[in-house]
Amino acid sequence: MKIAKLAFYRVIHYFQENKLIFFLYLLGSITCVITFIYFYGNAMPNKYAEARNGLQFRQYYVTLNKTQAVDKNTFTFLKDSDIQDIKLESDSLGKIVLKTASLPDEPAAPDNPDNNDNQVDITVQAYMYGRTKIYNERGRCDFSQEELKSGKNVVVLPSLMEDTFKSGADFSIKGVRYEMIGVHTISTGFYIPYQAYIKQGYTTKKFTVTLNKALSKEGSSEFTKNLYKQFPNSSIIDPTNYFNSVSEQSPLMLLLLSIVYLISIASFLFLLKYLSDKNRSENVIYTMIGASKKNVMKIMVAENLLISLCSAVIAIFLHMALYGSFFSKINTIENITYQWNDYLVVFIFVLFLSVLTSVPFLISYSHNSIIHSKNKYD
Amino acid sequence: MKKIRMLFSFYSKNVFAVCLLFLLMTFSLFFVSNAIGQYRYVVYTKTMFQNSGLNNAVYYMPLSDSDYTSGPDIMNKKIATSTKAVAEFSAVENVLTVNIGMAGYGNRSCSYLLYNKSLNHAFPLNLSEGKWFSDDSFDKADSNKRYNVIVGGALYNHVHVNSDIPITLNNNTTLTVHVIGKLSFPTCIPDFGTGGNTISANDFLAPADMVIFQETPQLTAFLHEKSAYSPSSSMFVQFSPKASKQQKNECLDYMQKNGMYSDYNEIMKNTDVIVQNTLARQMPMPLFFLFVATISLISVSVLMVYKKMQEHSIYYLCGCSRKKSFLYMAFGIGLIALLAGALNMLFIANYQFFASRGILDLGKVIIDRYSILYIAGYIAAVILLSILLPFLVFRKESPIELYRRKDQ
Repeated sequence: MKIAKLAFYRVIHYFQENKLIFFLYLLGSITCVITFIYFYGNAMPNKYAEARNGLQFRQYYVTLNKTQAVDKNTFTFLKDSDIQDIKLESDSLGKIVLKTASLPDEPAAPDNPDNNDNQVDITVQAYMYGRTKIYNERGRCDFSQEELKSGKNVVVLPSLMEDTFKSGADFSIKGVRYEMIGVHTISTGFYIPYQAYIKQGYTTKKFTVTLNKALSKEGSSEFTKNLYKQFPNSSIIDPTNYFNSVSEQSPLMLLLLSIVYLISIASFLFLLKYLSDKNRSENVIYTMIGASKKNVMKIMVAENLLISLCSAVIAIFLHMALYGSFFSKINTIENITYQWNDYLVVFIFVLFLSVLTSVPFLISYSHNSIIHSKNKYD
Repeated sequence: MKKIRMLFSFYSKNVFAVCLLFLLMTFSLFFVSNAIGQYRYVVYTKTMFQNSGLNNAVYYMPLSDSDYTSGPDIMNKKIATSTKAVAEFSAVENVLTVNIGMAGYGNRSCSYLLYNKSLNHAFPLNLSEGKWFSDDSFDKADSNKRYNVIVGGALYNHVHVNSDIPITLNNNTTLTVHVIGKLSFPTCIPDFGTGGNTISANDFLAPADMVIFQETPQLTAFLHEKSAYSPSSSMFVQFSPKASKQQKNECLDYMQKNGMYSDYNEIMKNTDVIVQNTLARQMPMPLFFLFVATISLISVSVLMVYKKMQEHSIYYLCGCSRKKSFLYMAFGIGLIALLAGALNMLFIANYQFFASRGILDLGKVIIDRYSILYIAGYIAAVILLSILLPFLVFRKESPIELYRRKDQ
């Protein structure tokens, strides 16, 4: 308590002795903390991932142990508003022979040497809500409203079937004729409207749920458990690996940010050195009247902590107040949000790093004897 | 000697802080110049495209059926077929293609480009020296004459106009060409080799070390015989203003079936996104460091004045005028910023040299005399500010008062 009081009065004294230098140091310190907060939001992998709302954090791939009829009623356990889309994928319809205009009704015999080189395992796929863009290579890949509503037999071919599309020949899947409207960029998968998928009675072997917004790691775990409950014995690939990868990168990024902060604050430490040199006599007096070197060093650390605490509080307050009007506009990506725990992490790190910045002062003090310090002051 | 000592006494006992500040300022200025250069580059490509007059055109990216192992001749034939097929539509007024090939100059690789009138009309290139091709430029090489070329890029920095230079075509044929002009910096050349769903002006206008020939049938045949050049896979298809909507749609449907296209508005929209992203992503970090360096310099200057005031009070009493005293201090403050700025300006002035030697090439940036102006302006403002605060402090305290206070 006494140490804290002494540190407090020392800081007041710094301010009273030389307002301009103290103000400049405070300004520099606040700038460095704001820089830290900015880079924390824009460079930390978890914040970046949260803002980017990347697809890899929002998709859950489910492979059923056996094919089953799946439609919108199967997913009533999910909230509509949370779902961007659900992609249904049928079981393999066999091998497709390239440059032909239809799929064979029967799977090609695996030991038939003539078919192996030109064959690809193909499935029929449909997006339940039609909210996902299919990237086109030729023609069009967007189904019209009428096609979606009526379940018209139109198909977007995989890129391996470009020649088939160009030939304009009749195309059928399992004996059902489809109009080819385009070719998409992926090498496998026939896309048809959802209503056509249901009408033709395709059974689903796999489906992919894409959420609107990425969940937290814990939320994602809950969601996966829910999926397992509804589809027991299925195999689910969730974004856990991506979350783990982000978690692994975070400490290194935090270290880099700390180094950036230390380099920035080092540019202003000479101001603090000037202020503290003026009070060298106090340290001498404390030592002469019996204070141990350890206690004097504690006072030096405490005063640095106190100034850093003030800077951090002011900086955090400024950042929160001006985030909407200024700081959000200079973010490298949109939708970066700061929660209270982010500010708390920054606050703790700034305080910890300020202790590190005291080290040169402590070393300098500890190397000098009391006589040496007194002579220096004189 | 005494004066030099006086000038540099400013830094005594503060060498570490001054060195750190100098390094911080130098690197911050460098990164800010680079970031501004990148932003200026994307804005430049956007302006080039805006002024191209291609408002009524689409960028068509036909898909090739052949893979690259078919050989350049087959690829060229396929591209020529695509071009011809599109040109045959009644709505199409002109098809803009780019014929480009690989070459070598010295031990570095470069490209050569055949520039025709349509390309020149859409994307006119600025020259820093020499002249553009005239209509009566010869088009056939003979034993005495050389092909006229215009060179561009850092690689040809040291080449003079009206000189002859050897270039090696990609089958090792050496061709001596006559330089009639040099492109001004930045050398932004149309290159229609890119494709994708989000095409922007930045994609088909790129910096390159380039030799530009005037395209003529004879030259084309000559180069075709001597070298494997190829037209870019994509093209701009310009519609006639008199074409009806139906005619246009016929052509667009064909392009949709045989590839992809992006119209002018789409390209501009994608370009605007790139411009905004460049500003948002490249600028903040360098600007933050520069701000820190600026505040730090001002702090150093104020601190130095406080530290040296007592010394200068003694100098005053020994006959040194206050004005001289202040100038010594101002020199000390200004030198840090001046040196940092001077280093950066020196780098910018010699950037073409570094890039031509392959020492440092920053890619798609514009670094020119305007960059020097920005740096000079910033340094002047910072020095002024750094000197102003100490000046106010200096004025407030008279030397004799300081001396008396110290004595007490």
